Amino acid sequence: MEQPEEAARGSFAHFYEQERQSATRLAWLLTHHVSTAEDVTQDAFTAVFARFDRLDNPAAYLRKVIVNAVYERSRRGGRERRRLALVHRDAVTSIDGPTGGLADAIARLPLNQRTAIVLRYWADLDHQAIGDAMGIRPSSVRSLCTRATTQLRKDLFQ
Amino acid sequence: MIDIEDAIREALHADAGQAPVADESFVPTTAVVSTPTGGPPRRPYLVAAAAAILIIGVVWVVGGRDAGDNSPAAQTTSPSTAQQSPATRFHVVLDDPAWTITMARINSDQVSSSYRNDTGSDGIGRPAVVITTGGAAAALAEAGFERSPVAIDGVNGTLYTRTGLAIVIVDLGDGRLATIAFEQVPSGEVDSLVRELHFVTDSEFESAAASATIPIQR
Repeated sequence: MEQPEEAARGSFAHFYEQERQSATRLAWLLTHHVSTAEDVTQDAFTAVFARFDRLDNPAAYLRKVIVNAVYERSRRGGRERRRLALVHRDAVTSIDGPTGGLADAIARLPLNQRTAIVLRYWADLDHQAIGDAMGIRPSSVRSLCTRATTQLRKDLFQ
Repeated sequence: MIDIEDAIREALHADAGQAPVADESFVPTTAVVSTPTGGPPRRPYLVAAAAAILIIGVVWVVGGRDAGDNSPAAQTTSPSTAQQSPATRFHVVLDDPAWTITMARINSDQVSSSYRNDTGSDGIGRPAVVITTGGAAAALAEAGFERSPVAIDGVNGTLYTRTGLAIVIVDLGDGRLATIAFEQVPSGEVDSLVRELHFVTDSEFESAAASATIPIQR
């Protein structure tokens, strides 16, 4: 007879299989850094794994953890870069950016606008779901999306 | 007239295609615990698992580097090479419960990167683990770090210290160097911190991780 813990692990494995690539892509779109995207994704799945059997919507929780992790890394990024500069004379951490055009303009958006745009137009989430992932109100999401698209339209047509 | 929303969708989907390929199997390697002595635990859910070895850093070192302490920059090998060669993977473990836990790893497809699992502490003692190229030692010397020899489980290395900072560089063989950098290290605690650094085997590492809150799942 299958033990409950084993069953939970089994369903987590299915969840991981379903979500792993889209989670990595979300992290990538928000960071444009290969190793950071991988690490954020790994952390996020670990967080989901720890409480998988208690989550009503693990996919939404996964998104939220990814967004939070990206914000946290953004906040502490400056300190990390200063420290790495102590031990690296050469540039060793690659920033793997978009290939150009509108993708570059999206990458240049402030993180909150970029996050809203990615969740809206790549993940196809509504304002409520985006607000849940970002911890803000749907009206704030709408405002972020409006500002971002205004900026992108300007970048695209200038 | 270009529809901006369609253009954004198209750009994002094209960009997402450049994302790294996700690992096929999930190994919850950030399962680490912390029981700081003399203070409250950082995260309650981790405390229950604080029984065994505390892991502060894991370094996955991939082979093919050609960098000595003063040698030119290294070359990297492909991820597939690293996966096929278990001998090229190293774990660095710190089992001093006074230090907040962090896992770190080196991605196999880059010259170096660092990874830290923020345990919610104030940053004291959390290491960044990186693989350095040959210029690191010289850069540290230029930056005014004091240099002294250390050994981690018989592996020779060098400790670089400056106020609040402690950076250990060990030669992992074949010219590869692992750098473990600690910041905000209280004065007088550097030596004890370095003494707690250990290498472990894969199985020891997995055993330690399994004893934490999240079991290894392979």
